[in-house]
Parts: sequence; structure tokens; C-alpha cells
Amino acid sequence: MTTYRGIAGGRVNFLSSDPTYNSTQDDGQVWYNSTTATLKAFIATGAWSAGGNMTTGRVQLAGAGTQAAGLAMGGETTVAVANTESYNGIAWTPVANMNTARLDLAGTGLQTAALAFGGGSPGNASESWNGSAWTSTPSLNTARTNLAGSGIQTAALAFGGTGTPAVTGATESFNGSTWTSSPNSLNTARRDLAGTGLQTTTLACGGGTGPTDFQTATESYNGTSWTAGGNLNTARKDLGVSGNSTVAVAFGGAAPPAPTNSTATELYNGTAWTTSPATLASGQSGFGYSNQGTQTDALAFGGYGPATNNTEEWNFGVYSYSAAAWASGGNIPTTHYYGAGAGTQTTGLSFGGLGPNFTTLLTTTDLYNGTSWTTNPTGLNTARATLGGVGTQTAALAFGGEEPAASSATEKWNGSAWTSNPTGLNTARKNISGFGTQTAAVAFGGNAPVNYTTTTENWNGTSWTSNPTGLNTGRMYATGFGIQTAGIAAGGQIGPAGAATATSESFNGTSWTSTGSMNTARFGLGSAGIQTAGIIFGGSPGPAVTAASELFNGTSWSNIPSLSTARNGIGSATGGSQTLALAFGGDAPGASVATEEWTGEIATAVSKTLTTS
Amino acid sequence: MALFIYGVASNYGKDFFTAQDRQNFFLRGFPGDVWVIGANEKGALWLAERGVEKTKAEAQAIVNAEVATAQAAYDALPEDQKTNLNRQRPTAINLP
Repeated sequence: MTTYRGIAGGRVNFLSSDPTYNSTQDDGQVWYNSTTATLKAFIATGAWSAGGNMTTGRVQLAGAGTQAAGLAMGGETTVAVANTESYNGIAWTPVANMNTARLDLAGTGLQTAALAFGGGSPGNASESWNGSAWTSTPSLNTARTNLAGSGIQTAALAFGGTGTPAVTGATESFNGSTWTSSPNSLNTARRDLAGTGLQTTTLACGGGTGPTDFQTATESYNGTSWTAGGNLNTARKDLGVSGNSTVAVAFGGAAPPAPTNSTATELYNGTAWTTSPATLASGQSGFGYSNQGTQTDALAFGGYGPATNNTEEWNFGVYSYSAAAWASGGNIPTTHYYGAGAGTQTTGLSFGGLGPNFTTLLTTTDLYNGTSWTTNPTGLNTARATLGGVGTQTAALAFGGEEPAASSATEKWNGSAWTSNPTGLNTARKNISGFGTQTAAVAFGGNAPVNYTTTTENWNGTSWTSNPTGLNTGRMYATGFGIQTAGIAAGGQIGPAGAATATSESFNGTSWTSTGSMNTARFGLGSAGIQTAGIIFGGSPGPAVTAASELFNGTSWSNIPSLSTARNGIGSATGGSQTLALAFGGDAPGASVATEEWTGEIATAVSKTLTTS
Repeated sequence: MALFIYGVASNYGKDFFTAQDRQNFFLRGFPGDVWVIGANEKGALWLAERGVEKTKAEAQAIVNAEVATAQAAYDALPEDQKTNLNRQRPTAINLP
């Protein structure tokens, strides 16, 4: 047999918490989170999506902040502009202009505490932004344009660009008051490069030395010196980058030979770049970007491309998978079987049924809170078993059953007490089933006046109306799930000898249509869900009991992990779902107090927060 | 190596077994608080923390007694109630 160990060379890691996603080298890593009982994997799910358009389209602008809190400054429309706009993750809003209009500048910091420096002709002007206004700060020591920046307002870095007259690798640090030249310059002097990270975790990549030069060079700055890193796969300039010296994403830019505006997106792990299969929707260069963003959340805006006010958002996520299973819930205080249920996994309701001696008809009503059951001071007005139940923990409906004679009694539950309805079912019957809500339900099947009846009735919140057509296959001890106009009847006993059936039928509010058959024929089963996404569990194929569970997708049935304890006449929170169901009580044989909670398979792609899923 | 271990453990409700347990080892409950557990380290630890290990024969005897009790209860029912409930006589259970 092929095993994971045989393929991967090791067993799946058993971890109490998720590991940190560092880079694409972690893609495919599989682990089991023992805290959440979740099997997980890192699988790249990165994608660019459209963001809100900028108010003022422009090129050769600067950016700062993050994807959800971005800042755009300066640039060129047909002339150099001082426009500033802030982004809230949805839309751009114009805010106060810079003091000095310019293009080819650098920006860094956060949306409410940013810096703009350099750019222009070339210039050395530096300004700080407090979220509402720009204030001039001491100038750069080396005037330049087409430079890059990193860091925050009080600990920033300026590097590269074109000075007078040459391309430079000059690096300066800002402490909130003054710019200080670093003795160490970029190893590769260049302009039109991109920068991201903090002052001590800066990453610089791409750029060029002239109009026809396109660099792949990547360097990291630790607060003192620059160190060469892995080269970009796509040489380019006027690109964007988001992250830091060990984890980053680079995107867009102008690439040779034309040059053309690139859509390429690459992921950096501190050593090497990997080209992502995801690309920008449209090639862009000379745009602004969130240089304080992360590898998982980036923003690109403006620039040369189809539209100069274009914005794209990058999200990179982790795929997690949680295997489905039944787990024990709080024991139900009243041992019983063939009762009815309503509500959900965390707001369950159990009522009626047969007591542990198999002869006592119960009125008992128990409420479940997701952890434990509480017996309500008052129960059903009419003690009975094999009744139907639908609704919620605060608005349920009980109908039919055996008293032991066939019952037509219908009662409404308001969360604390049952009230008998003046009128009952048109056809009194036991071993009845149903689905729906307290105000719109369906009752079907049962065995009165004859066994395995097809009789179907519709409830409008006040009274029952006989449906002109009945089930295709008369049945009793079946189960039902769904709503009045879209429900499922499954399993049960059918005539003439009471054999368990695997058949199911769907109801459209008017008529029944036969649909797929369960894998295991059974009666006395439980269920939850809707017409296109249901779950059934337990019951008896006759005469033994089964723990088998199955899912229904609207067409066919498939096996899933079984209950821990096989039982017949099992109760279920009929308002539950295919992914969150509740089973309680039943005959194992012997009346059971066990409750089991079903949590279905969950596969999610969680973006933005790779270490929390 | 045996596939299962057998034991008696009283189901105390919430978290008696978790979804994680169900994924770690086979677990199946039977009358008489008898549990059949997948024979691995985690399964053995689960039983050790919650109950007492039994031999298969001992576990089977407990189940047999419970089934016999259920059968006796069924047999004691009036015939009309057996029909009314359409309940079948409990059958013997053979532990895996």
C-alpha cells in the first residue's frame, strides 16, 4: 500500500499549533494540528484581484502603507503632481497634497505616518505625513530621483536612484529628524528599483542602470550593510515589492525587450525567488505599492498600464483541511429512543420517545447547548413516541406519533413550553417523519390507518392540509430533512414485510420524486441538512443496528465516518446541517444516553493570516 | 499484532471521545459500556485514561449479557406492543 511516509519520506507532523509559512519552499507541507484536530497543508493560493480605482490616475508615483491602509503620493498625470490619496482596502480618498509636487519619488511608512523623499529634477526634498498634513523635513544628503525607500517614519531608509549625473547606490537612513549617509552603498548601483521592509530588514530588487538595462539583482540591508540575495527570475524595473528581506512578493514592472509591462509575480524566501503561477491582471510599471505590506497582502496602484488609476490587491493564503468525524457530546439526561428532535448541534431539542423499559411513553423535553443537556421543567402535553419533530430550539413543532394509539396531536414549542394546537394532523399516525419549520412543515409516511402509508400533509403554521399526492414509496420509521418546498425523505421500513429501504425521495412542495438510494438500507435513522446537502446516520438495517453515516448531495449518497455507537430510533437535531449535526439517544440495544456531534469535512483557503486557520 | 483492544469505559459525555480521537484510532461502542478500540498507542492511552481493558472474551461476555437483558425486555412486551413498536428482537452482537 502506498503511504504518505513512502511518498514524502516522513510521517505527517503532529503539531499542537500551525507552523509559520515562510516561503514557497513550505508549499506542500502537511501537518496535523492536534489542538484543532485538523489536517492541514500549505498550498499556494495566491491571487490578484481588482481594488478600487484611484481618484487621480498617474504614473511614477510613490506608495506606502499596507493593502488595507495604503497611501499614494505624487507622480505624474501630464505634469508632476502633489496629490495624495489614502486607501481603506476598498476605495481611495483624496487627502491633503504634498508640499512639493514631484514624480519618480520614494515613499515609505504607514498610512498615518509616512515619508516622501527625493524625486523630481532630481531633488532631495523630504516630507513627513501625519495622516492629515504634510510637513517638510530635513532633506536627503544625496539629491536623486527614481530611488526606493523602506522603513517607518522614524526609522527609514533611502537607497539607489539617479543622482547628478550618475546612477547611485547611495544609502541614507532617517531617524525621524535627519538623514544620515551610510558608508555602505548598494552592491549594484541602480535606479527604478523597488524596496520594502523595515530599516533593518530591507529588501531591494530589480531596477536598471539605464533605459535598456533591466536588473534581477536582489539585496538585503540589515541596518549596516547590503548583502546580495537570489536574483529575480524576471529582470525588470519600475516594479513593486512587499514584505521584508526574508519573505516578500515582487510584482509587475517593465521587462525587456520592448520593454513591456509585466504581470509577473515572484515570491522570495530570503534566498531565492519563485515565480508564482498567479499574475497581475494587467501588466503595470511605474506604479505605487504597499511597501509596508507583506508577502500575503500587497497592493499595486496607478502606473503605466491599461489605466493609470488601476488598483490590484494581492492575497496569498493557506489551504487547510479538516477531516470529518463524530465526537462525543454531553449525555442526554433522559434515556430514550424513538423520540423527536429539532434545533442545531449547539442549540438542540429532544422531546418525547420511549423510556428505557421500552414501554413508557415520554413527554420529556431536553435542551442542548453544545456541551450539556438540561431537562425542561415541563414536557409535551401528550406523551408519545415515534413522533415527528421540526424547527428550532425556540420554535419547534411536534406532530403525530403513538400514544400508543396513532396520534394526530400537534404541539408548538416556544422555547420554554409546549402548546397544543387546536387542530391536528388530518391522518393520525405513528412512526411518522417530517421536515421544515414551525410555520411551514411537511409530515409524511407512518402507519395509520395502514402500515407504510404514503400520506403527506403540509403545515402552514396553523393547520395541516393533505397533499394531493403522496410518497412514491409508502414508508415508516423514515427520516426527513430540508424545508417545506425542498425536502428529502430517506430510508424507513416498507411493505409488505417491513424490510428496511435504502430509497429516498425529494419533495418540491407539491410532489415527490424518487432520487438516489442510500448505501445502507435502514429505518429508525437520524438526519440533518437541506435537500441538496444532507446527512443521515444510525438506524437499523434489521434486525441489527448500524453506526453507518452517509452524506447526500442532492443526487447521490456517499459513506462517511460512522457514529461511535450504532443505534436504532436515534434522535437528531433536525435543524442541523450536513457539516454540523447532532445525534442522541436511541436503542443500542438498550436505551442510550450517548450524544454525538458531527463536524463535517472542512476545506478552506484562508488568506492573509497564514499562521492562524 | 491484534487489530483491536477491548475495554469497559463509562461514557461521561462531552469530550469522552473527540474528533481527534476518532481520527487517531478506530473506536466503536457497544452495550454494557464496552468499547472496541484500534490497537495503537493513542487508542491504548485513551482507554487507560477512561476505563479498564478487557480481553475480547470478557468484553464479549458483557455484551452478551446486555443483549440478553434487552432480549428479555423485548420478550416481556405484550405482543401488540411488539407490533405497535415494530421493534425487532435484539440480535446477538459479535465483537470485531
